[in-house]
Amino acid sequence: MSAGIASSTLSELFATLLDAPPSEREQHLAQCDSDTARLLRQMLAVAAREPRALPEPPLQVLHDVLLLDDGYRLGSFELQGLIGRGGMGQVYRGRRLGDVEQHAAIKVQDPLRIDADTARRFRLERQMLARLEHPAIARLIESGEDARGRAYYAMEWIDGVPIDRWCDEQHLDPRARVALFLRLCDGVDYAHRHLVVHRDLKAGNVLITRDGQPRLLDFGIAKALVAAATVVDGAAIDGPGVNGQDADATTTQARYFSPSHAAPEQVRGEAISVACDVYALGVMLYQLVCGLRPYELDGLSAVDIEQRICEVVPPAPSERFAQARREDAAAAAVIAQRRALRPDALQRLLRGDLDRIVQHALRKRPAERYASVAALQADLQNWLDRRPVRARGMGRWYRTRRFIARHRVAVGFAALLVVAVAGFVALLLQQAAELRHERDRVAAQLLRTEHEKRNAEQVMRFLEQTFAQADPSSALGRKLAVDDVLDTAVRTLGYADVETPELRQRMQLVLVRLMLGLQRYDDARRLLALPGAAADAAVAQERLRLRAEAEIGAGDPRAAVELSAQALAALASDADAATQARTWLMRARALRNSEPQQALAALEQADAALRRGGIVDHEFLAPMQRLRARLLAALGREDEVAAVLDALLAVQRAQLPAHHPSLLETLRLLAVEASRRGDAVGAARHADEQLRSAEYVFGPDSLRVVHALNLRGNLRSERGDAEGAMADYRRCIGILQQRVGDSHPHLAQTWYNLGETQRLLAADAIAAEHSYRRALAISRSLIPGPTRGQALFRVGLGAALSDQRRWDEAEREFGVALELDTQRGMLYALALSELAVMDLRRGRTAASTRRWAEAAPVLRREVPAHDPQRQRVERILGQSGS
Amino acid sequence: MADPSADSAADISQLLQRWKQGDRAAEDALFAAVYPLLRAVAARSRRLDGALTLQTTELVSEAYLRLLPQQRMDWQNRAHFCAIAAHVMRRLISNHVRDRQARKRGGPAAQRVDGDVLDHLVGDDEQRLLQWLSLDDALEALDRVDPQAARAVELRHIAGLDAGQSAEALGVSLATEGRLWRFARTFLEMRLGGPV
Repeated sequence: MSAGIASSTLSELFATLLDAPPSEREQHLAQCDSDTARLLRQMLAVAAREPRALPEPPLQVLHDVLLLDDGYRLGSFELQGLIGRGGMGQVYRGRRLGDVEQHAAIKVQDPLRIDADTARRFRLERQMLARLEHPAIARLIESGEDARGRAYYAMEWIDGVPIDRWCDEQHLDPRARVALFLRLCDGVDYAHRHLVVHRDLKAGNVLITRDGQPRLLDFGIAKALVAAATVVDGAAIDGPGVNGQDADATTTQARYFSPSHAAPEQVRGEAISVACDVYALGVMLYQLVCGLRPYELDGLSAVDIEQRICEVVPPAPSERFAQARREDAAAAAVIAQRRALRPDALQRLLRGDLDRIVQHALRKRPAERYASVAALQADLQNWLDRRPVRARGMGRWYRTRRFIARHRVAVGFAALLVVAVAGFVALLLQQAAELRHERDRVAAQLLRTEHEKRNAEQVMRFLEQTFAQADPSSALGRKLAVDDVLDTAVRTLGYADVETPELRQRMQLVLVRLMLGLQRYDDARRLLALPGAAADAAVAQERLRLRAEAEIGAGDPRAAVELSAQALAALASDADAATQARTWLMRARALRNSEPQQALAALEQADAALRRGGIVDHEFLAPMQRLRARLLAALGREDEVAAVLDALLAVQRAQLPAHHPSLLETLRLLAVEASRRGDAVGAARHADEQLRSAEYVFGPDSLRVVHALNLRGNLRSERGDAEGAMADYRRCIGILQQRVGDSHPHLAQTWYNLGETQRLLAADAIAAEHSYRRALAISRSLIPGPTRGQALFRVGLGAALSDQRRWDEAEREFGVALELDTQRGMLYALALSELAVMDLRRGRTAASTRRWAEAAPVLRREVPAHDPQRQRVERILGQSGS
Repeated sequence: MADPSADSAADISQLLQRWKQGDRAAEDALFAAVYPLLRAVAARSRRLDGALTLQTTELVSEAYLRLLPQQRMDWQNRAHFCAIAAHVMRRLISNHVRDRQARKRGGPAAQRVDGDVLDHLVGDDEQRLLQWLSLDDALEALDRVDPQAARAVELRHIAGLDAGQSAEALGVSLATEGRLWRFARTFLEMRLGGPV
């Protein structure tokens, strides 16, 4: 013991003392030096009383320290508030002191960076701006240092309207817009010739003055292109943001730019050249002419934005506008009217050369764009002059090539397959668009040749099955690649000019099946809503069936039942057995919730069709048996459920490879079913096997493993195996953090599960508090407002705090749950009974009894008897003898 | 070390390590690196909201993202960073308040962080600032007795982290963090509350 004390820190020693009976304390203290012993004695005395709240840190002060205030004087200006932030400092609005009314945008060097190096860079930036004198670029007015050596410079304050707004207000037609845009390009080209790239070109940075002159602002993140050529001692101009370094003038490091206008290389942090400005000009031109952005980036995560910008080829402006017309004709009409044109006239004007010019400026690879702003200008001038543009002929195979290039980045088996087929679709349609004659020949041949047709259909069916088996969360990691490919295919299908309707129909249905497999029901509905009169009765029937499937998936059972009836009616008497079985299975799925008895009968019909056709196929077997199990459970025939599932498992084991994914789902259902029956051993066995298979098939850190682990954790927890359950949850958390990042609903749930186990089984309130707080934080980062899920987390958190005798904090958490559950349901019952427990612990017996009397009936109604939280509450409060 | 650049991300990690082991020189370098980051984040939050709302945890994690933008999230670095950021925040606040008090008394300004803003302090009431200074003094004393315990207070009370995050930042178990916090709370209680 004494060795332990000698090596431990004061805080540990103190903890030991606190926990030791008073009689032993002196023994410990005797081994400390006298100063330490005195300190510890004092502290022990203090520890007996309730600590008061610590004085709050005056965070207001922190804010003040971190900003310059209004009225601060710099040179001949005084500051009037912060308007932005650039490399090495902040940008404020400034007003000239004295009688002359003048405003400026003032960039101030960060005061903590007054060292030789950053001061030099700031000076270089000033010099760079001083050199840029052009009618299309905002002027430098003044630069200098304040008394304390802090450098600043003031730029001309432009009183104007952003270029896009101005064009709309003036109802400029696209030709006038292009002409104005060309004058802006003059300024950008001028900067480039002075070896400065702007890097943040966007409409908001281009103001049109009263006299109609474009002025380019905000070279805040601009940078010099070549170091030694123009800049003294070889240093480059500072990059954006807080990182004052920038030794290499051709790469960015901190990435401050507007995502909507950022070029792929900028997003990736790669080398920056004039091509980056060419790209941003392309985006601006895109919006100016067609009134829409090439990408809709609102609400996307950073990863999605990066992926969009780097991988997705935007539709041509005319296509984008055509799409807008289809989606919202009124809005499109407004866009056209602001361009002094009718919608169809605008679409015609955009289509062709202007499309090509914009697309050429927006190429993903810098080397494939216009080599300079001057080249872009020249082509735009060609367009204005109705001469042939150079972008024509450069883009013929561009899209196809990009598509093929994308195949290489796609990861994963299913993704590769989709790429293969979707690529096939796209290529075919691409050819259709590019080479009319070739297209007709190929398409016709494809349909005519029986052999080809069978091949294609086989591939497609295999593919659909692959997707049907991969649940969407397991595809999460490669979601981007797959979805992107599908989106591209859908878009191509929507726009391409296909003249054989049958081919288009078939392609459409392939995509619909893929969408259904990926559970993208709304997309499937949208695709099915596209017009398409089917000549072929079988295709029409298939279409009906898929429409019903989409409604089932999208959760509209009424529409699904109606459509399923239509699909059955459309079933030809000589339809093949598989089609019949598919339709009856769909019918059963449509009826599964509303009419389980009828659904069961529909399943019998599907069975009969399969028997007639002599079909033994796992495409049908597993889904049908699982549905049967579910229907039996719903009908109260629970004793038959296990038998159905066991039989399915036996067939699957006999006929499928050992770790086939379809087995996983069966095992999961068996585990859940066994647990429901109270068969802990059977549940554990199935859960273990499911986990091992998931690890084997999908990899030890796959999301499938997460599901399997979570299930096993829950089962272990129910069994009272705290250690095992906590280990499972922790592994889940580790995998999730690695795979889906720090905020995902699964992650919040798993933290909560962990917290429950820690609190209720391991009696570790401190650890549980931490877990609940993580769950809550994640949940709130996903949905800020109070949700029922968050309220549930708070009940757990409150209970953990109550266990630590932190009454006030606990009461706050319970309060939130009470407030939220206006229906007085489960949350209300849990929170109220936990409050009763807390009252009891605080010796407030009367209050406890009152609360428990109110909570008990609701708790018994809303929470199942075997729920550990209910059991615990009942144990504590029941004993108190209310 | 005036410039925490992407290239010197490794240096930052090293500095964080050294600081954690008690290297005062590393602390100064980190201070110079972290202060502008906090400043930039604060500027943004003001710009977006108009009102001065400051979420300290957000401040810290944003600042971290800016410090090591090229790196993958390394939990260890992030944890150490939380610790230095919390410490820097405390120094910023305390230097500033002390400076202001010194000026009020007409004496020479003490160590200055950013003298220019002193004249324009928006009113925080005097009592709170004085209470804060007494806590800061107590924290100084705690720092001499058990530096880790002082870090725990900074993390929880200034940076707004919870026990688990604080444990992570300190690189100790949850139980140890709990002991540090209990020790710190009792110590501060003793210093703030006067004799028993």
